[in-house]
Amino acid sequence: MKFKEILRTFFGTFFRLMPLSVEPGVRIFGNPHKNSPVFVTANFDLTVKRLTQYLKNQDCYLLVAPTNGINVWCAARGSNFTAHSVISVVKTSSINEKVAHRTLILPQLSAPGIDVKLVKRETGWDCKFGPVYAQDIPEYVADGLEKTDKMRRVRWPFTDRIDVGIGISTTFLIFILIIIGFFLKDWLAEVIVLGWGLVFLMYGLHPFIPGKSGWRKILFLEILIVIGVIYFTFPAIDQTKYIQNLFLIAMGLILIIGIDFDGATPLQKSQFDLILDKIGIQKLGNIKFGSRSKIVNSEIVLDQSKCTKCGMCYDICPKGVFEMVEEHKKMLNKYPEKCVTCEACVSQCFTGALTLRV
Amino acid sequence: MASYVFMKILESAPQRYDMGINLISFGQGRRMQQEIVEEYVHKSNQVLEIGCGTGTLAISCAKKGASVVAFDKSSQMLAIAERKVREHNLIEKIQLEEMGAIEMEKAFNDNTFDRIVSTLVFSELYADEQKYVLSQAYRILRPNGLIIIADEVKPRSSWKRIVHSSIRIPLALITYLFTQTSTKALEDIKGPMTNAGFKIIRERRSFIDSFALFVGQKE
Repeated sequence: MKFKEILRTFFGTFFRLMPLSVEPGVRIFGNPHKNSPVFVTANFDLTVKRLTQYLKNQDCYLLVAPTNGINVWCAARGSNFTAHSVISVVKTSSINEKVAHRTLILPQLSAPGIDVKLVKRETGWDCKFGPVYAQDIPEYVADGLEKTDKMRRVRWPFTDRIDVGIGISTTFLIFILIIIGFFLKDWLAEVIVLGWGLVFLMYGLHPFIPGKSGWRKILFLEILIVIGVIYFTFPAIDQTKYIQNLFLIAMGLILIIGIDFDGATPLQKSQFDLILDKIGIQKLGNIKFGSRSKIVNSEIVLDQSKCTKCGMCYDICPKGVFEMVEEHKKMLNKYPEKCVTCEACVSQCFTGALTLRV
Repeated sequence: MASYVFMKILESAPQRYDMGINLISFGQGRRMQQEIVEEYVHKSNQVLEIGCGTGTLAISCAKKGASVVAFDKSSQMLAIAERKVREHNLIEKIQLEEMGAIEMEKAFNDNTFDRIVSTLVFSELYADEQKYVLSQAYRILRPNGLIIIADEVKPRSSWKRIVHSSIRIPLALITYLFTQTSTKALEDIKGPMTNAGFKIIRERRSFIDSFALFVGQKE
């Protein structure tokens, strides 16, 4: 059993693009009572394991909602973590009899997918969005379920960068290894070392690589490589061309690892669709890059006449785009350049004051 | 801590759903649907489809003359279903609803339907959800009404299991990578069906035992 869990953690860590589900339902932490908080999360194996780390010293309930084994943010954006998931776990878990209150604490990043009115109508439960990161939950509980601005924002620390880097690159690298194994067997060891080495370097140093956007960072790295090739070619240091070939392999690997260097971060919009659209690839099968590149360029529009200044958008924006101006009692779309169009605010705005202008 | 690319790919996954299902089920998904329509759906039947996806089965039922209510929890799947229903001129015969299976108690009255059909859905539901859906299905079926569940199952003999998993595991990986569609095998459904009050009147397995059709009757 233990071995199976280690294997699952390994799979979840290195093959992040594949779903890995755990049984939904209620989990009990500590000795909860009638007024203990009820948290909700997605049923991705790693999500539940990591969340458990931070809940194990709390007295609370955790509802693991069926989201097809996909993590919170991805599932919420891809229609896998919706009101239906929440309704299902509330109705089938007998949480109604366990607590006296009726407030669910959802992960903040589930906001793009969840229709809280539908949850209320079907189950009678209110939804509240908790912190983005599980590690902030103990502090959030200690403060009486109040969020600070720090808890509302996505961050991009070193550990997360490495985690995301290996999580999304391994699948691609293994595909490349299979191809190399067939056609360029002699280079297998080099590709393995270079491949994972570059993942660590590129993601580890991500904020320090010059260039504002991901593709500029990649361009910078490629230019470095070209300089390297030239440096090693002209003085004819290595007659066997071994080093030149290593540089060429690195060039290809950098492109593949960094194919969507913006989209891999929680900080910037993916430029993937936009670039493909620009170079004329409008669609591949059913995936339409052309129409999606418009969404990349779209912006959130705030209609002041409909806004009730409830503060919901401020509460759930992971990028801190909105600001409440106290003296005018006005909500402002103050830092639109930070927006990653996750549409959390659009789907949670009660009055429809926020829309996405394509 | 999500990859934005992954989010984007998932968003457009419904458009690749039909392709994915056909790939992973070797066309069995579609074959079973044809069988359901041919053998169990009659003209003037009131049919409910649980989890209609892109609407293929609902359309076949309606073409045979049945009135269909079909629901799914994915708005993107339903958008595709709606387009297909319009293309087939079946708007009057098919009513599409966006709802989850766990919301059936408020949506439908007792003794409303002659047939309840559901393909590749029960395997996606967890044990508690299956129990809920089956008890609701029993409530809303008319007396003598039939529930027809077709799904992927685990082969019973061990050599068939080995043959099956050796084809299926690599195929499932490829199918998921290209279409973000996956299915899993249904464990025991006859037990929960019987517990809900249904009498199992037919069970048929096909394709090295890996697909099965269960027909239950409300007594």
